Amino acid sequence: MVTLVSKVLPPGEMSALLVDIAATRDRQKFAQLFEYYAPRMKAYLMRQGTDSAGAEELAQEAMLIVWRKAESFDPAKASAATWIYTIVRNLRIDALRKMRRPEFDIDDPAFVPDPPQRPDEAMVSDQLERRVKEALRALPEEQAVVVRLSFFDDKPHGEIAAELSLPLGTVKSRLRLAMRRLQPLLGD
Amino acid sequence: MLPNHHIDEDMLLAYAAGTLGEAASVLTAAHLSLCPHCRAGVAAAEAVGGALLEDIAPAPVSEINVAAFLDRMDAAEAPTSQKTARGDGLLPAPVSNYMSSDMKSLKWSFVQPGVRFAELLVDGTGARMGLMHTQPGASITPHGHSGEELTLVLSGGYSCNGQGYRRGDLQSADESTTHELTTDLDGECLSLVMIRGRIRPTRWIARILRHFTDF
Ligand SMILES: [Zn+2]
Repeated sequence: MVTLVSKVLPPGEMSALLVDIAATRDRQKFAQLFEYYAPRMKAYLMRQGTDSAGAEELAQEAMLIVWRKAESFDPAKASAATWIYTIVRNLRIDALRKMRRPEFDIDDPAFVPDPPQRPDEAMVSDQLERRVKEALRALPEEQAVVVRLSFFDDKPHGEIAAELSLPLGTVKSRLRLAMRRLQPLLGD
Repeated sequence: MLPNHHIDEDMLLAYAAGTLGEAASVLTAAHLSLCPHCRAGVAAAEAVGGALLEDIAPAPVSEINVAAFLDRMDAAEAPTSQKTARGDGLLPAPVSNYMSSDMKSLKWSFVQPGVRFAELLVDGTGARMGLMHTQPGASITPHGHSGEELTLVLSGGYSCNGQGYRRGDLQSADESTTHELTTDLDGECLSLVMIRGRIRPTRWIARILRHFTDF
């Protein structure tokens, strides 16, 4: 077993490392990223109901995608943690739910681009992540619980509601309230 | 023009969490293609996912030699990423990815006069998704639902309960809703529809409607 890098790094450090890896293709630097994220991906996948061996295999596969796609990481759009989260999430959907993951494509002729942002509105993605973390911590517990379950339990909101013995409408409204606290951070 | 009717926040969150069914995800991704506002919402929800991944207690992984692992993987052929088909600007890519032919050659079924439907997907949750085409002025008989119904306008427009819906607008209905959609008089309307459960028509003519959604 490797020693766990369990300390949470300052935001921005991992994003800078990932940009560096994309530029240099340095395997030792990637090993650092691997040590940090593979155990977190594995934990995430196990929370979704994957057994330890399966979660480890999928985490390795996800890290391989990170290595292959590193050039497409744009630190202005998402932090490393967020970008890596979307990779492991999509792999989980593909491998465990056996369904396609429909996503928008910015090269699609039908795509409607973002309106131009004033420079003072633009928020660095790592700054966004830090503020999202703060907002998450500040959420009332009843909202935080349903948000966490939404991300960690591979279940529709209806099942989460049943587990908590709450009406579905209550779960939905708590999620909506939570999202409204998180969303204004984007300056929209 | 940007959409006026958006995806509910809880659905954006489910999309970001990856727990939404496939049909609802197609509808979401199609709306996101047309709506910067909801894309910002999904970005926020994904940042929540990133923050939770960052904060999770790491699970020990077996020690591997990462450099050797990458050597092995680089030796293997990298999978060719499937490039999405270039659309014509009408159908967002998440929708055209589910079509093997152009719109004219889809299998359209008659729903009621002036209304036809072409099914594109029945997903693992039993939700159906397809394109609905209505003639100018045609209305969809008042109906209720035994489950969720989502409608995303792709061209033209319709009105429902005094509200207008145009390209990019999303309307959701559920058990508690009965509604009647009336296509604008100035043109045909094309929309992407997702139906879960049964449609409950409130008039006899809609038996036809029930016939087509009978599953
Ligand atoms: Zn929207």
